[in-house]
Amino acid sequence: MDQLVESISRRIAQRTSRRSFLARLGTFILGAAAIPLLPVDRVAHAQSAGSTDFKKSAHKNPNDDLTCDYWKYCAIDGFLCTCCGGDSHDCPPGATPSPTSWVGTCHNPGDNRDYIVSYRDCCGKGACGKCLCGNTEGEMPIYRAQLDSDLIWCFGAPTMVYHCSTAEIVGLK
Amino acid sequence: MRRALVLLALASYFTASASLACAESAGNLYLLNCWGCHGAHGAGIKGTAPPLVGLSDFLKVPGGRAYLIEVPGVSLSSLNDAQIASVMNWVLDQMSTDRNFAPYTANEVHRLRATRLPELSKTRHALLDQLVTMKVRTSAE
Repeated sequence: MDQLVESISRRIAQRTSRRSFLARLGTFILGAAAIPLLPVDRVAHAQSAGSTDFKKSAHKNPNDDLTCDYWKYCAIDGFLCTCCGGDSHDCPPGATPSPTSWVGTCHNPGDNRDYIVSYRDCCGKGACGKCLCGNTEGEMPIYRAQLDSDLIWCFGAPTMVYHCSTAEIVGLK
Repeated sequence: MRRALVLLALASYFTASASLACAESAGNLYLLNCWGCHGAHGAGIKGTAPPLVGLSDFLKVPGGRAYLIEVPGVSLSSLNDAQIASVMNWVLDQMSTDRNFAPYTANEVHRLRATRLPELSKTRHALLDQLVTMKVRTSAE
């Protein structure tokens, strides 16, 4: 066994330079770090990473802001800030609210009225990874970008790094 | 015949009521379509969304009235001509100190939004320069 490992190690050492190995390792690390910054389809990415999809869980309560079924979250797409140290309309410490947001309408079964809701992403901190939701009420495809929630809405924020999403009532229909 | 006329009148009344109920107010059109980037008071975000405060200044320079409808955020929006006229008049009224302007009509919006601005940034800067030259504004920011 020792001889086998020694022979493989010697063969690698003879055929490759340390510089090229370090260059490839550096490229790999940088490339892996850049992937979360790409502003596309964060839900699919997070699901493949093994995050919990709360929509598929047993929780079904339109008044519980820790679940995807909370009525105000009818079009929320991403990690709930309520599960990440913030609340339904405030970012957790260390994350910055994006100055831009996308706006939709949700029906509140409590008073049977429709409310205008602003979905604002919290930015500047790595992905929270908790309570992933992919609700799509009123969502439009990417060619109607102002109503597409798959985008990371950190436009105008200091960085495009996405942490979690909030939902705030801004009007009544 | 008389019964048919009464039924027709009732049907017209309910149709009109339904369409009024479905019509979105100008303030809500702003919330749903503009608020996300331009903000509650039209302050905008530097480098991302221009401010809407003092927007009626653009109506004082040649080409400015058309520009406000030709910008992509307005002309390519999913709103119809009447809705654009309604929300634009609301913004001009709510976010400008000079409210003495001729309101947009749906027909005017229909005609203007058919034009595409080939050079958005250049057009905007040229209009802002004109505003400074005409002493409507003190800087072309």
